[in-house]
Amino acid sequence: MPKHEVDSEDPMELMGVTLATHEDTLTPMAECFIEEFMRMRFNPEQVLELFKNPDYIGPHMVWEQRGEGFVRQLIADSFAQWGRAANHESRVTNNA
Amino acid sequence: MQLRYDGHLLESVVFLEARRLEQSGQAALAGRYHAQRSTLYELADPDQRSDGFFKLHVQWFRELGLEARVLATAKEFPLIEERATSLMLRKALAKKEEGAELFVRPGAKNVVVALRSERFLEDGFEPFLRHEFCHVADMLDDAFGYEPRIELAGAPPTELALLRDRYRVLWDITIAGRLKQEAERAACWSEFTRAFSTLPEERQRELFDRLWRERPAHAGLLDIAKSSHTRAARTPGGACPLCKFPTFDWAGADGLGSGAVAAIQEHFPNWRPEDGCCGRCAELYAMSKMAQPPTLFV
Amino acid sequence: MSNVYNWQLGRPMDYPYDAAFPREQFAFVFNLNRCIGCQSCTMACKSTWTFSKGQEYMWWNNVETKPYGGYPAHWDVKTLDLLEKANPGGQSWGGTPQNAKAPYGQFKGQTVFEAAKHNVSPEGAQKALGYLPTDEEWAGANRFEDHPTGAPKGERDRYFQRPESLPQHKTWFFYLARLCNHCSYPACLAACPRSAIYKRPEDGIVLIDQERCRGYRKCMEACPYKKSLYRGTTRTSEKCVACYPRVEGRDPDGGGLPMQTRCMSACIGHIRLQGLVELNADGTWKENRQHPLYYLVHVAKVALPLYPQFGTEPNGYYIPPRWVPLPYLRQMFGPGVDAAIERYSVPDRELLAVLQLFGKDRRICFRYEIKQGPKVFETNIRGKKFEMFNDTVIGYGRDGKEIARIAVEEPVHVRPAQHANSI
Repeated sequence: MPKHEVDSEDPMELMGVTLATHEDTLTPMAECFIEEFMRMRFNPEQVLELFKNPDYIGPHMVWEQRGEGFVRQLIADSFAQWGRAANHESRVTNNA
Repeated sequence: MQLRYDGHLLESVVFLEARRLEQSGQAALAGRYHAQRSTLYELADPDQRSDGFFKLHVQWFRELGLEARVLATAKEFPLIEERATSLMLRKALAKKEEGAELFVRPGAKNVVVALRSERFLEDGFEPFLRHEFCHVADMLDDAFGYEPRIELAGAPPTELALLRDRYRVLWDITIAGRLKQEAERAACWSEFTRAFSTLPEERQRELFDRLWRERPAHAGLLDIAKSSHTRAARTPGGACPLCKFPTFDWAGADGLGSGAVAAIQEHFPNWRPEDGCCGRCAELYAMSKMAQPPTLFV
Repeated sequence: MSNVYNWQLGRPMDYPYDAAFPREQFAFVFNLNRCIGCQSCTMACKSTWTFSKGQEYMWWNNVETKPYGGYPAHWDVKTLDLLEKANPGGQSWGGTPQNAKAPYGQFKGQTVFEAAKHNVSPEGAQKALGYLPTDEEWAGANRFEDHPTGAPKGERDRYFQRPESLPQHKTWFFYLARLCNHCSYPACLAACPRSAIYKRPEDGIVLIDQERCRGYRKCMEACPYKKSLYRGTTRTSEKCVACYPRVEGRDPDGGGLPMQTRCMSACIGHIRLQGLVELNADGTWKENRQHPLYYLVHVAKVALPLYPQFGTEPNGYYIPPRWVPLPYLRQMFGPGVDAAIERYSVPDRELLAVLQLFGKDRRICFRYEIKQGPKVFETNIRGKKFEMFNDTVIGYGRDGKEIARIAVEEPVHVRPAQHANSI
């Protein structure tokens, strides 16, 4: 007997979940990711690439909803705030 | 009719029932079950141990009256008793997996009912089982004329799935109506309006009431499902009915020459110009009429 | 019932057995700000311990997308709900944070052990308030999670190939990596009618004796974290064994030194740091200023226990995600959250250095030292002076020898393209 109904009780079913929250935490989340990767010595371009990557759901959501300009500015601000903008590239070495 | 069990289902059902009895004050009975169960862990041979657990749980399934509940419900359907070779109960992990199936091979008609363990402890156990047995009884009934394969020539899998879904909704309504499962009426109506949302409400009510009262056979149900069948709209990003690739570039009836329409219908007899196709297919079929033989293989 | 001291609650509490503490306790800190939900830990555990018949739905380690995901489904909401029903409106914190005996103040509500006393059925009171998850709740580990595998309707043989085809989050979320917390007051151990569960005196790892277990599943019902699981083929319960051969130093890779578990070692996000901590006679942590876990939990206080109000004194600690609304985090990690986030968001000199130890070596770090480096930057962040120094943190193994040396400004070495995958 074929069965293809949507079953809200089915654990295998893909579905959205409603949460009673309106808090927009996109910016602090994006700031956090930028700082974490900055401390792992990613440069601004490499961090931006993470936001563009659809597989990395959190940052990509910010990139999609706020646009690349917003993300670029946030990355620049964060790097400047923590004193990383100017001296980063020189510290990256390539063994090639 | 032979009764067969999936050992995992029996073990978890008996365990849950023993737990329920323990919590409701029948600790001695639950204690006896656990004591008997515990001794089997001492069996070193894994096959012997598994066999021991199976036998113990069949015994407890009977002692706790669970088998009698299944058999009493099955007896309400003489066709199952008469025609089914075996009835097997197997474990379902999710609600969606639950249900009855009939497996037919030469000389044997085996009924398999998949059930969650928790189902046995729920209030709606017998009504659920009755509903599923009714499906099986229909499948065994020559007058119903059940055909396991539902086909729609030329239809892509998604449309076929839609047709099957509609068929299932219709069949469920007739069964709930026949069994006078009034508690199911609202759920059936909700499913029905979802599956047949394109029908006007008056027509929906008329059809639903008829299905609830009458007992159309397989062919009748399928006709209703097919007659209300409307093809998926040409949505941006939707699948082209010909090549099945998603497309944003739909070619409508007005964009297709009569040659292209004829060429498409050679390959897709059920296709109508208003169903449309993607720009690439439109171009290919238009070209195929210009250059012989056709270069498209489907 | 015995009266034991639970330092995470800042007060004594009831527990079915007398307190007994190991010589060292298995513990870990996860930095949730870094978890990307890749499930490398989950698969490392699965491929090591739960790949056999009967373990198909068994995940000793899992990563769930909070606030909606959970394995088994809704495990935390269900237990919180039971506690709230047992003690309506009373599950709150008070007091003021003090020393290592009460770092988060005092929990005024009821633990799973205390609430169970009122949950009396004819066979007696429960040992710990809990519930038995259904098969369905165990079977859907991907339910509400990122990266689930599902097939489009009517095409059961096809699976989503790309995650971007999945529904997008419309609200805040974070990934919560979980395993057995090897609690100091395990509810599973308390509930077992066969005394088949024990806590090892040498490292506090909680194990189920497979010879004694008779599959009563009381441990599954009692564990508020739902980290004890039933295996239908052996008819016994199983749980995380904390990769004890590695912790004992028996993995040849460790050269005889205790190693971190498989899930810790496999973490590509470097969110995990596992260790063994020494305890005082009352179960509080022995002061060990240069132990990285002691530093993170008791000095910097950035790492907090998961649902401490359950009362089992879990030994898994989490640096909470900075962007998540505080009421949610307070419920999950207790009242220490506000200060933890504040300290983590503007990390001091020592914290920046210690965080570098995460994921750097598979051997367990027992002590660290910091070699001071030059100041590389100075600014004001939210009105506070912030100075960054390029210090070097040095980690030492059980034998006192160096196992890791990392600078705060560790240079990045990019592997040349022709050797990109030559490990």
